[in-house]
Amino acid sequence: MTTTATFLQRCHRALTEIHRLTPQLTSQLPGKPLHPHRPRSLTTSPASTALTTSFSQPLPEVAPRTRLTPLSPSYYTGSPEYYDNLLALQDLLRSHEALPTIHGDEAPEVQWKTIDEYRLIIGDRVKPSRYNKVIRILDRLNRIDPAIMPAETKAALLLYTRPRNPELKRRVERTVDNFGRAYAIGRRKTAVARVFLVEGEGQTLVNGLPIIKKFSRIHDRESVLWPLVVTNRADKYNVFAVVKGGGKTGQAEACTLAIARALRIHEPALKHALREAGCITVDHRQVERKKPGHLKARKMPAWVKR
Amino acid sequence: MVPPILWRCLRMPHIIHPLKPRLCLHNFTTTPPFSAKPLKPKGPPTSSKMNPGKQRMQSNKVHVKKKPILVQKPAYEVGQRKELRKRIVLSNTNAIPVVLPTMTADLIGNEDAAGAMFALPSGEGDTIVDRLRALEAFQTKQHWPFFYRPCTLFRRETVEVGRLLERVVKWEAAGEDGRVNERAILHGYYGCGRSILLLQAMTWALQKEWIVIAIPNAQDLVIGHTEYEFEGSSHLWLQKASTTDLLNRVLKANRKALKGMKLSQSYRLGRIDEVRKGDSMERVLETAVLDPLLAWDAFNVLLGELGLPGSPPALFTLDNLNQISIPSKYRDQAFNAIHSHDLALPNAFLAYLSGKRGFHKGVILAATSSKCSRTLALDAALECREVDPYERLDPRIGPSIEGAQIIRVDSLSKEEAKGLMDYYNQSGIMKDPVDIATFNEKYAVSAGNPRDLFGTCLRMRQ
Repeated sequence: MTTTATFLQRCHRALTEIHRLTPQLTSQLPGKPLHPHRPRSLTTSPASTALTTSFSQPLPEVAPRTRLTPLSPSYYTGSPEYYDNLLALQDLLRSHEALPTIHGDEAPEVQWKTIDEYRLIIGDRVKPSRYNKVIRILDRLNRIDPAIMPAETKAALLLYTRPRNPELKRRVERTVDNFGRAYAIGRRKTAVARVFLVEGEGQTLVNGLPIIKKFSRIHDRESVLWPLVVTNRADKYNVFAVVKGGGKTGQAEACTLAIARALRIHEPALKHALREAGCITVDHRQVERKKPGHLKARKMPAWVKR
Repeated sequence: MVPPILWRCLRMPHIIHPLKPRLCLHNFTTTPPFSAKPLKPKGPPTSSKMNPGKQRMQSNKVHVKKKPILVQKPAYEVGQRKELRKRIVLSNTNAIPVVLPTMTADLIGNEDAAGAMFALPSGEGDTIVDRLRALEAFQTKQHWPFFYRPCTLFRRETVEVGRLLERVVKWEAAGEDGRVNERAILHGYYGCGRSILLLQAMTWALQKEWIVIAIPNAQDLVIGHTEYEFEGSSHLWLQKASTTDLLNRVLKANRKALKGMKLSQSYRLGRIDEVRKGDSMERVLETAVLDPLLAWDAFNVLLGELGLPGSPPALFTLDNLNQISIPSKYRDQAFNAIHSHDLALPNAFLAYLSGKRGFHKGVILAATSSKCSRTLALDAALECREVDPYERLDPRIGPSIEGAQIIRVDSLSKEEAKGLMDYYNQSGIMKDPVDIATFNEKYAVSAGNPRDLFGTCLRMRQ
């Protein structure tokens, strides 16, 4: 638990030790400048003690410190609180880098503190890009196999998680209905597809028509059946799709998304394979609107002299 | 050995080795060689007032510089492009030969053979493939050039087509009197294999020594590319050139059977020519092929003789039925579009298809096409649905196909698709091994459509 305590102290140095400049004078060996990486291995215990422990022989008597040195090695970065925090997290990650990890989809679901909450911890303005750096490290730490996750890491992650409010967030667990149908919706461009997926022998009906009549282009048909083909389930499920709006391509790709979602209701373990195949990510792009003064969305009229 | 002195120009000072790079020597200039403008030739002065005499002299003698007439050689000779477009390659020696049974006439209507591939008969002295080629039963874009020899899949629909032929064969074998005419229309989605079914029917009919009359593409009859004339007695528009072509094909494909047909009576061809009773039909057609004016009469003689007892069975086919269900591109004297049914050849075929006329023993087959603009009247007639009285459909289309059996050509079943895919694999055009996963994928993506199945087997997954 000592290590945990160390980490907490280091993370919250900014909070606990408000004074940025310590009156304490560093005792430094002559000819051995303070390496910027050196302090990371140090604890918050006074530097002199750390040095004494690293040497077996007692240190020779040195002259008393003659100038003020900042406590934090990040003092000159401009936002020392943030960088102390980041460096501490990076150290934590480096020490646990070799631990086995699990896939991000399987990692325990956590909600990190928002950027505003993080700013409250740090007590300084934090840019979103810097906040994202921290979140990336936290995500990586969260992917350490929960069975062997060190207590230190657990405690550290707990500092950054938002308290879970069961009342606020209730995700409806989708299941197969009593007819064995999985129902899902997919959208692409302006098309909306509603899909019922049942176990069967590989028949596909789109808007009541056989797929060959609805999508006469091979490419579209391949798009529709892609989640089933890529998971080798093309002859295991029957698809009944109702698709509205948009054009052929949009309709086909809306069906892709809906079938992939419905397939995950039947077999949640297929999530990785479907993500690899690009069937999980929603393509939310739409046609950009035309603006007044423009010829199209972005195009401007040609310049004329008068 | 050619002396190197011949390579060089006489003015060249030294021998240049052909392989060595030639030294480029230029006089000193600050102008890049290509951007320098050529020197202007010294023409007459621009001001005409300066020397009027000279100008008069010039106006008397106007020198027109003759341009050399360049005869540019055309990229293609006349008809060469059409020939390239229509060329049909039926074998590929680079493909792996696949040992398959031959599609013989005793397979007609055999249900057990469904799902297997069969090669078209092409043994020693067997001319079936040549005769089918003469009938234009093979089409481009049917992927024949990918395979060592032409082979086709025996499908459920092939069995159904075979049944039609089987009934006529049985009737013939029983020696019963009376006419038997089997009429059917092959209808289905795009690329579902209607034309191949016609080809299979023709293969059997030729093997049985029937008379095969085939209109390979009905579109050729209605697009207004050939001459036409009005015949007053029948109120039909004759297309003599097209008829001559048709007779030519019939003659090439059925020479042996036509030789055996003797005329039951004398006929008059055109105004002068006459064929006597007892002449062979082959002679009639040979005469008619040489003279387009006789073609229509000869065609009628052929059809008339095939309707008489004792004549051999006949197979009359037409591909792309949709094309003769829309107004033709021909115009009458008042510049109105001529209805396709008023053209003599389509009219004759539809008379047989609807049962107004008939062979003594015969099968009439038509196949629809997907590459045609909307033919609502034909679609309604094929679906046998009630027509909304406010729908303005062509009233002549429905009765023209009345009574014909409609054979729905569906997607391939899994067994048929497996047989076809194994054949592709053995022929070496499909690289993946046909395991269950590959098969399911290709079958699902192609939805059992033969044309798309070929496409999915051939291309790589993207």
